[in-house]
Amino acid sequence: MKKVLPITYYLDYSFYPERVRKSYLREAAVNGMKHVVLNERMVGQIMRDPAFAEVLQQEVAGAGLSFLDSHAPFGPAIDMNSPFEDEHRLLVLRHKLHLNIARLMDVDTMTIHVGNDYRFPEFPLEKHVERIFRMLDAILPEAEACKVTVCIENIWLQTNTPEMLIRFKEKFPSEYLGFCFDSGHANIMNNGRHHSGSRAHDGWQAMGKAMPDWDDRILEKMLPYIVTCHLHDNMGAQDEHNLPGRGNVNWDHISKVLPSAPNIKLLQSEVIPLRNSVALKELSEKFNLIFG
Amino acid sequence: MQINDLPLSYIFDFCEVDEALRKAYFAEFAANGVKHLVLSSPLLMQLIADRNLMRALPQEMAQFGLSFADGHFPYNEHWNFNCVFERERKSLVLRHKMNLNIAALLGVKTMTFHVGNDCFYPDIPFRKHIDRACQIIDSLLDEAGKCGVIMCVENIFARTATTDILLEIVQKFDSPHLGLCYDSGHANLMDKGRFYEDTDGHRLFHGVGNWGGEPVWEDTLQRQERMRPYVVNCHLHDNNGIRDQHTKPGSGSVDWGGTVRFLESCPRLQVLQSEVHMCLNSLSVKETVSAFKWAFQQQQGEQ
Repeated sequence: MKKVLPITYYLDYSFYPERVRKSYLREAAVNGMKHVVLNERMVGQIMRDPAFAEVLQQEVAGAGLSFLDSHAPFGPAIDMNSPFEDEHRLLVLRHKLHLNIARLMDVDTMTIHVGNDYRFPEFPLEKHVERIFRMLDAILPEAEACKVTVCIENIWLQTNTPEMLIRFKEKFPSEYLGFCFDSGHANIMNNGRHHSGSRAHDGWQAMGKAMPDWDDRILEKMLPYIVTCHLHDNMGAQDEHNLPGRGNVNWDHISKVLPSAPNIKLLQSEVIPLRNSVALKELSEKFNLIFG
Repeated sequence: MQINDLPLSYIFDFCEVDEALRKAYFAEFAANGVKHLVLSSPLLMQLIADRNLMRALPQEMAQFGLSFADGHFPYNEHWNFNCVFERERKSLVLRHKMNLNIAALLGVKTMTFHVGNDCFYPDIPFRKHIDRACQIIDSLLDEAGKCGVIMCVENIFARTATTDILLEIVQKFDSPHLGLCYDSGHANLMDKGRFYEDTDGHRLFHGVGNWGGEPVWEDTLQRQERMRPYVVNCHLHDNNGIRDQHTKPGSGSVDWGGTVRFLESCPRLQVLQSEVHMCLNSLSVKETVSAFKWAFQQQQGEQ
């Protein structure tokens, strides 16, 4: 029997005025959406203003929706491989707070970026790996205490290939560490080969590698450890976060393989409607068509 | 110790302005001889979620010869140490540990905090508020030590922040990383307020359903004498004894000669802070700086 997984939607609406937020959530609900992502911007807003947590929850519940999964704030200086040694203690606290905000919002997964090596090419790959090990070691006990699974995501760089993610998982076999399969990023590491200047080319060349290790088996390699996913489309060159069908991601393949992941909890649309002028109606219809 | 030997920092609502006006105000402070600003509560609320601004702001300030000299933990019902939202208290400790680390990165050595007012929660016993605040302090002192920051609890016009309670707290922990913040305006409210009706002191004390009597009025000189050994930083501002106006020295009923004499006698005092709210009172930087120059001459004039 086919596994039925809840679909959760990344909606970047939280910085708008209250009446706009409520209207947009209503739009989501009437188009059949049930769940939304506690995204990195919302987590940042709650860090600044703890009272906003209840506002978000009430608004989402008021529309008949719920938060199901989350994404931690990210960026070169706050990802796990951040090289700013004088901020290490602060960074550990930052990630612990992110996990606690997820707990307070009643979600049990949080995707966190391990970090992109090309941002700091002066450090060899192994130094990045060492920093990621150190951060995972510091935050996984907090994840366990919060009962929130940290999901590390494939991107298009050497620090987040499937092989590297498996290395992190083998070092930390905790049940509170899993993978987030990102379809768009996987496509860049596959169909990027057909472009001369893809995001992958730029990232790998910055680290002294002329050509990325193109990979058309990323989903299969990550499958045993996948807990969450980011589903969106692109043409293989840029990270567009577009509607499925507007790029060259093989959705037929993903829809067949991904639900078979033994630990997967949900399907997340990481289409960014505001960036790509996507109607919530067509977004909901598209995901139900592919995964329904 | 002479009052002018200590660094004087100024508070400003930088979160209310954009980058262009922020820099214009940095220039304004610098042109008036100001060297230090306050790492304020709203600023920390912003920096805790904006790492890049945390790094950029001190560099911006340095271009104008400015630096942070002291700080204030964020405060409101979700940030105060008596926070009643049990589910949030673990996060609260993490938030305040982050604040201590941000302070350390920005060169700040003293951070003021609020116990938190009880008047909004009449159903919660008074001692529960103090116990909750002490739990948070206990969770933070080790981190404060690692960060080289002294946490200072402030006298407010509420029964959770009388001199008795403040002394109880600092004596309970007896830590070099815990001290007091002397607030001149709040002290004035809890002294002169006795001559008026319906003051801010009355409001916070009578807000508690089970408080039937007068607010705990305290003679300022006696308060100063009791707080003296523990005062590490201060909030300096004036008012009329009725409302917590945070206005400039000389425009209210605070005794500035006595205040300066008191501050000069505090053995642990590290820094002075103008907590004049310029925007709230339509005051310029120039007027505020001049008012402090005037205030600090009062003691000399009396001798």
